[in-house]
Amino acid sequence: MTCRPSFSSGRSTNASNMGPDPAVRGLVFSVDRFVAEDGPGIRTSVFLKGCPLKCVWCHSPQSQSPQPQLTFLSSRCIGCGACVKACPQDAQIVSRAERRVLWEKCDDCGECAETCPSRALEMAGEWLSVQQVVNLVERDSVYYRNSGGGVTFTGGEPTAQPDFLASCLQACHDKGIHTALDTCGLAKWAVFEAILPYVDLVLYDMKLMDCRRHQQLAGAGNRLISSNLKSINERGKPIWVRIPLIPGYTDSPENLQQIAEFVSVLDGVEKVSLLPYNTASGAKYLSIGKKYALEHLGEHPREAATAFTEIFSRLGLRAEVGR
Amino acid sequence: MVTQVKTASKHLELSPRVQRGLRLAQEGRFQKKPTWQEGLFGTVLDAETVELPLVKRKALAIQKVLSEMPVKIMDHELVVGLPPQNSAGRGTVFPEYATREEREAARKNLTGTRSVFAHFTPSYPKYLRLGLAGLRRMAADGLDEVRRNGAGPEKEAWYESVIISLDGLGTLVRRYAELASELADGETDETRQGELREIARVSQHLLQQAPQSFHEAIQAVWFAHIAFHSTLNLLPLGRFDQNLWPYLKRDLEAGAITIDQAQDLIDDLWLRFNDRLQTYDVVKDDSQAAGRGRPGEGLTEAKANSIGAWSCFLGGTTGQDRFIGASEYTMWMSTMALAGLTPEGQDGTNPLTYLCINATYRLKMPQPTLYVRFHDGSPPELYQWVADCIGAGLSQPSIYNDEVIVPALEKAGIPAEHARDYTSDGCWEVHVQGRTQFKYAMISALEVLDRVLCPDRWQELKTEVPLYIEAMDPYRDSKTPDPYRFGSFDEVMASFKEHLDLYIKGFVEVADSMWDGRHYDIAPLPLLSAFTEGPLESGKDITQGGIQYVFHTPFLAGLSHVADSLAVVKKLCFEENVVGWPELLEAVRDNWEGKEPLRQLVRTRTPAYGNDLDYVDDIAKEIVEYYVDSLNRHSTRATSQTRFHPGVGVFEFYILLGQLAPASPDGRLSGEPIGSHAGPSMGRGVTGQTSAINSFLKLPLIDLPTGCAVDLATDTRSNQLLVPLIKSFVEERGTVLNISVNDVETLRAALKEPEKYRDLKVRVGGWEAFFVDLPPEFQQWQINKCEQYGT
Repeated sequence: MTCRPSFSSGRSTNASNMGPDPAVRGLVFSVDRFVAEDGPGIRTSVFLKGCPLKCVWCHSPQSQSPQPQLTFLSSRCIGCGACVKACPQDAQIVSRAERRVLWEKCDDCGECAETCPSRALEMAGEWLSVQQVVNLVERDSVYYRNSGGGVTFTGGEPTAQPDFLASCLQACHDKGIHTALDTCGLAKWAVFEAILPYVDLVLYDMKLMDCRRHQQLAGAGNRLISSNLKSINERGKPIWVRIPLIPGYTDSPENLQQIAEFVSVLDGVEKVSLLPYNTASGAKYLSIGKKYALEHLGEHPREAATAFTEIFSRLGLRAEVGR
Repeated sequence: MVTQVKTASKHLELSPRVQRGLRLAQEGRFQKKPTWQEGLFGTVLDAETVELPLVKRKALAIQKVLSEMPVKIMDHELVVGLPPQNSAGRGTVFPEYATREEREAARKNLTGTRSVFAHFTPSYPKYLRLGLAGLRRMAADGLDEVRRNGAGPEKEAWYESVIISLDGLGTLVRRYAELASELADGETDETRQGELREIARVSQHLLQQAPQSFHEAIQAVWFAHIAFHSTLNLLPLGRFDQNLWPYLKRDLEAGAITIDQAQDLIDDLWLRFNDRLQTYDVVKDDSQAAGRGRPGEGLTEAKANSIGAWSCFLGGTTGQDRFIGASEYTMWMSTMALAGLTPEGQDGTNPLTYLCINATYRLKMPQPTLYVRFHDGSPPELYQWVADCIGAGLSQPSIYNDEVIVPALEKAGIPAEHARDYTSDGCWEVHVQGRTQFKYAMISALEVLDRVLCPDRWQELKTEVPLYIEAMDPYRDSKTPDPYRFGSFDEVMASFKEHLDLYIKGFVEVADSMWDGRHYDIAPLPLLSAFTEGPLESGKDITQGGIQYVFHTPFLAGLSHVADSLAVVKKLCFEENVVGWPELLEAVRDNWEGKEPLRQLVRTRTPAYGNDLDYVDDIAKEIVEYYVDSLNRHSTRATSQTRFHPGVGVFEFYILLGQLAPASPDGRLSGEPIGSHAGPSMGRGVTGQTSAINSFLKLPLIDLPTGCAVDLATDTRSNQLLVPLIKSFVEERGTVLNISVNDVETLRAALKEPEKYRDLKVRVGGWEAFFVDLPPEFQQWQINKCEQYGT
């Protein structure tokens, strides 16, 4: 429930000349505070950039690339033309008639974002050190304590930056802050093994049980995802399963039934959240020069989503409609 | 003794009576209500009265209103008394009692017959203890004594005036007793007849004695409340649950009332507060004709009096007697403070506390506006009740924190038992119940900053404005340095402080000099004086300093904008040299005309207050610290009894103060509304509600005894987080917190189809209102606020 924050008070980091030092820095594209949806209590959500999946319904397309990336919000553009002068690739067009980015020419160097006065052009992703992240997270400690809240690392896919994630989790955990990991599950088991000691709660995304469809629609199969979930369960971690309800894709009774059967035998699963499809993603795709394949889809009526919870509660699972 | 008092129930159904009343109040919002028109009460001046001392004529005028104002009892009412039909928006209607010469003399003194006082509480405990008759007896004893002592005709006249005013209130009560009897005689329904007889008995009782029962006590309070609101004193209710609980407790113990019956009485009383509600739409023509209905429509007048906020709140008149920007869509100042510490330091939360919160929760009407006081020992249920009420979209109660406010008052020299007895004024300003005359003024920090950045502009204005009062200009003998010569941020900051200091010095001098009896000469307060601690004992009217405490607060307004502006200057001009200092000065002078890229740049490249960023929060803190220091320093030179208490706030003046303020270096355009209280500026991305609170917590809150508030917006997703949010606020020693649970899309939809969203409520300044009832500028402001918090 926030606007895009500016993490540092200084100018945005220029990616090209400040390369990542994976041991201490990670690429973060947002830090939201007073978040109600990513785990219990009042939480700070840290969004790490980069994801191994490419779900066709992804509601956060700017989170997929593991590099800082140019975004353009035309509503903020005042047409000053500073970007045209700044762009080494001649990828910016500002005229009376139109205002657009020639995405095929753009190499995400960030020069235009540096000069854009209104932040219509902005780089998604900023390299932050573990210390910077912890400093931000720590600021709301009192709210976590009173609400049973804490920090949630999400993305993108946070495990895609394993060392940075591990350091962040450990640092927060050491400070007594409740930690949650929101993951799609697609990472080597060794990555999970390394971080789980510092994770208090796992938010685990499940999409499709059919491996081929998963491969087709999310860009990778689901075998590792399924086995990781089992292994996490064996480690005794509390798990909240989250399922995006994408009309015509994930919301078939068969698929939901299969997910329910799979997770119902995992004793660590405390609840299942069904997340109704978010129709407002189109603009985000536009802002990075892409077209949203699922533009045509409508929103799930809340009642329909509620009806789906039945499938899970029949198997003794606690299920709810999330947001 | 009652071992276990049944508590209020959220599931208790509204009684048919309350349902009927609620329906009428809801429908009534869309109908134009009769409003007293100027001249209605004529004059009390005649060949005989003109010879009397003015205070007596004022008392006669009070008596005249209370004897002549319409009385009415509706079928569903148990607590009776037609809400006042005065109009804050158009100025108040009152009989003429001063001669032309007196009025002329007053005008020279910058006062008038409408230089009335509002914004503080009568001592309801005293009134309930003594009753009307007891107060009258005190006044009569006082009169006897001054006669015996030969204290002089002036003192005698004052005590006589108190008696006349109290008799006026007695007349109002008697009229209701008679009306109830009369209606009972003609009533065919037996139940209603019994109720009307009871109403008559209660009223009759109040004429003779102090209230004994809960019903009598409630009725006593309501009679006094409407009497004050009808005679130029717009006053809040004080610690309602503390003051009334002994009566309810006794009745419950005696089995004279059940908790559900008590709820019904409270519900019914709550409806009375809302009987006056009207949407802006049905009153706007009148208001506009009077040039006062909307902020900005009074602007010409405000500017004509002198320049800027200085004059608006100080120069032309004496403070809160001019309700510029007020409207008639609400009954002003009807706030109360519930729960909190008792004067002895115990937790005061009681069953009546919950009945009150429950009434607000059940009726979903905006009035009265509740403030709930928390401290470390507040019961968990209190948090839950308050959170449920806020979560239901009622935008109230607001939260007070005893753990800061009480020590802040003590630090300002108020003894603990009085500090613990603090309450709300018409908004959230803190004062001691029944013992304080509270006044406020506004210091527009943006105006002060503009004096530094564009001194020439103010020189021009001075010669332009015909009613400019040279003698009251705080900058009259000062020389403002040429801003172009500043070579560092420190010089800019120092100049800002210097100007702020001049402003505060000027304010203290003016406010202090007003206590020379000039108010008594034109607008004495014989009725209200009887209801407060001090005047009857000392024989001195409130306006003569008869009341125990006088608090006066020049609120620092526009803090976020000045902090953000100075951050721009510091960072972009003098640290990073991204923006030329002369370039910034010119841009501000030209209202950013032709400088849109630069305006965007300063907004996106500097940290903004409210995001928990130390760079700018430290600047905000430094400003407030300086303000506190300056006010405390200058107030030591005050010769009146006034205590100048620091506070930071804007109230509903965010529109008006914005209209009066020129452009600022934070990219704000001339005339744009300003942010609320000590919250962030509009449109400066907020990284979350907790960061807005954290920025606020960095201010020296313990040094702001009048208080300092932060306004938040959230949406229903966060409802389960409200209890911990409030708890954290109390624990981290925040002062005042307002939370609105509103969804920005809903507000937008309500703009388009108001008839579908009649119940939507929002927070305005220090009170509640229906969103669709507000003037358009206020609606837009609310939408901006929600957008800011991403709800």
